[in-house]
Amino acid sequence: IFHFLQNSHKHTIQEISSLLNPLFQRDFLALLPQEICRLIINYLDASSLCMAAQVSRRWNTLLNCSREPWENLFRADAFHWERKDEELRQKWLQQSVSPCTIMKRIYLRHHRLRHKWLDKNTKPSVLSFPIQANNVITALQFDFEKVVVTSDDYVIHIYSTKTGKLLQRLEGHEDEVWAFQYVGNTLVSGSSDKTVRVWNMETGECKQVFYGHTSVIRCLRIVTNDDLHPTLNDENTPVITNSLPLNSYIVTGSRDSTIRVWKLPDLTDPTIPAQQETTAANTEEAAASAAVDRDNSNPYYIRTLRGHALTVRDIACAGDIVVSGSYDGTVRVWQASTGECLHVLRGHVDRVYSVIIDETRQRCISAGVDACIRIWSLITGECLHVLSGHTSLVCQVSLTQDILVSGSTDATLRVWDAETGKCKHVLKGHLRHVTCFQHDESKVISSSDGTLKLWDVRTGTFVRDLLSDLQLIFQVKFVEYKCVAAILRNNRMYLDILDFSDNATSPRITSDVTA
Amino acid sequence: MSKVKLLSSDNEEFTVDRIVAEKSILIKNMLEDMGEMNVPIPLPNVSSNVLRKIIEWCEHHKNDLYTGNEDETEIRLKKSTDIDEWDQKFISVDQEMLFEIILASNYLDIKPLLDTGCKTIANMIRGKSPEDIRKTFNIPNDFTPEEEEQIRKENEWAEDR
Repeated sequence: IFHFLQNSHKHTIQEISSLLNPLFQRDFLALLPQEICRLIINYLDASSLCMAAQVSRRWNTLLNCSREPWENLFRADAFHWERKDEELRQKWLQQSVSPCTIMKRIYLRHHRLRHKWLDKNTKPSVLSFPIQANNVITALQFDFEKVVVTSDDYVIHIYSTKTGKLLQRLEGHEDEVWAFQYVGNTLVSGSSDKTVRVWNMETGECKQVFYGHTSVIRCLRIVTNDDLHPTLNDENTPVITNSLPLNSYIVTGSRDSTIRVWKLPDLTDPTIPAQQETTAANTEEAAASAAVDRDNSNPYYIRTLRGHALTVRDIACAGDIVVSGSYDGTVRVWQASTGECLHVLRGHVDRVYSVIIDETRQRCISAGVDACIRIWSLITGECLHVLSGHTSLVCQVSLTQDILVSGSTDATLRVWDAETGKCKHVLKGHLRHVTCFQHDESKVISSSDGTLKLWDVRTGTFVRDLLSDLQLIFQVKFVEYKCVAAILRNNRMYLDILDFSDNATSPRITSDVTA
Repeated sequence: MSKVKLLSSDNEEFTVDRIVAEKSILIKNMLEDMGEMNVPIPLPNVSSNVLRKIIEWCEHHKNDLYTGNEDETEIRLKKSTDIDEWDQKFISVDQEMLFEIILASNYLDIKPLLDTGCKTIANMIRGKSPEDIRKTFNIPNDFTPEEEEQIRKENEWAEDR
């Protein structure tokens, strides 16, 4: 054979070689035992796994029955299993999608989402429309159907997220609305007029009015059974239980230094009669007894949590636990179902502005004027960490799984390790105080000085300006591929809706849809 | 130093230091169970050309510390496909031989060598399009055009990373 090859034409050798080469090639994944294939697959990165699944039927089957690499990637990329993931998982399970494919799809969902936001080349589509408001936007919440905003004009406005069209005006409050939250079609709002109102967002009807607070309602939360996450910490007896003794409830915090707990009304419930303030009472005792009568006649009133000496500025809830932060410098931990104050957390030397609950670690986190962030144990009430670094007021803290982010009037945001309290990154770039921000496992979106900035939360690096050259940014929120900002531009209030989804079209500016 | 005799499937006898042979957990366990033996250990699953190659690897790595107790998840999370220079040269063989080395290291229970083999294949797959992977391993595309389109959609990758 050797002799034959030596005397053969180059072309012939090439032909022979192309015939012979495949003999030395091996379809490894098809031929090797499964456990070895699994080892190989575990060494592949996400994009290679996707490419490999398209090679042949055999490879596709093999790769689609390996959940492990996707789970590992999910963890390695520090993704966070969200409620949306659970909904998708349930949906796909019903469609008989295999658990491995589900894990892969969920990983890809997170990966694509992260990529879209962090890739500087992705251009969002922008829908911008003027909104009705006076001087300030006090709160904003949105989903893919609607954006709800409140301002100092007493009216709650609901706009279409898709078109910017005004869908509903909720009219009734007699003063500024500082706080609201909606769940399904039920919106609960709290106002400077001292009332809490429950609205049907679809019909625009005010279903209930709760009296009782004697000053501005500054914060509120709705707690439903859907909010409950299984407790992951099994080292200690969990404080946050996995059931709600009260069913769904509302917690409101006020400048009158009290917190009130109410049953969440059903929209089909009849409207209870208005209980106007009893101004006729001429003694303090008479007024107090009239107030008790009023509370007792309100079937939704559960109780008042008393203890704070000054304004209740922020509330966080998880299951049956309510954490409140007050201008009196303390943080209090309450049990909603009994009204018991479990802990008074003392340490801050000035007003507390922001509180959050870390369900996984059974902790709460607070921050405020003294520029420190404190991490407390909900179980023992002790202060576990004091996070210092900011040089002035920390207006907001937020948490996702392992990442804690704080925004301050010192013009920076800080990213902290939620477990240890170590500062991982200082986000520098804003020129003035941070007005608001939101973060997730991938990014931080923050506003200040008329600029909306996007940061990579894992590396702490600045990625890009999403909006700039604005007069003011009052609120910013994002969900999935959409980001909504309430802004002041050319002395007019606007909502800017940025969309990073695949089907987002070229930027469009709508001049005046609401008119 | 005590010697061990190994017998390949095609009846070729190899004499190696015990420390070298014990890189194979299979042989190590056999030796521990049976003590010193003068009879060669038969390895019916390994041919002489593969066994020669494997012994070469074991010789080179005979003084390595056994790292079998590393946290497996940690290793996987790192996704490290780094292969040291000597091993890279060692494993630069045709696919036939690579295939045999992987099978033999699995059978002989030589985990670091098995890992090197698996990493090598992972590296051959990495960063390639499906068509390039098919060419690399001579795999026929047995999808129908409809299947192919559907699977392409499922695995769409929006970027190069």
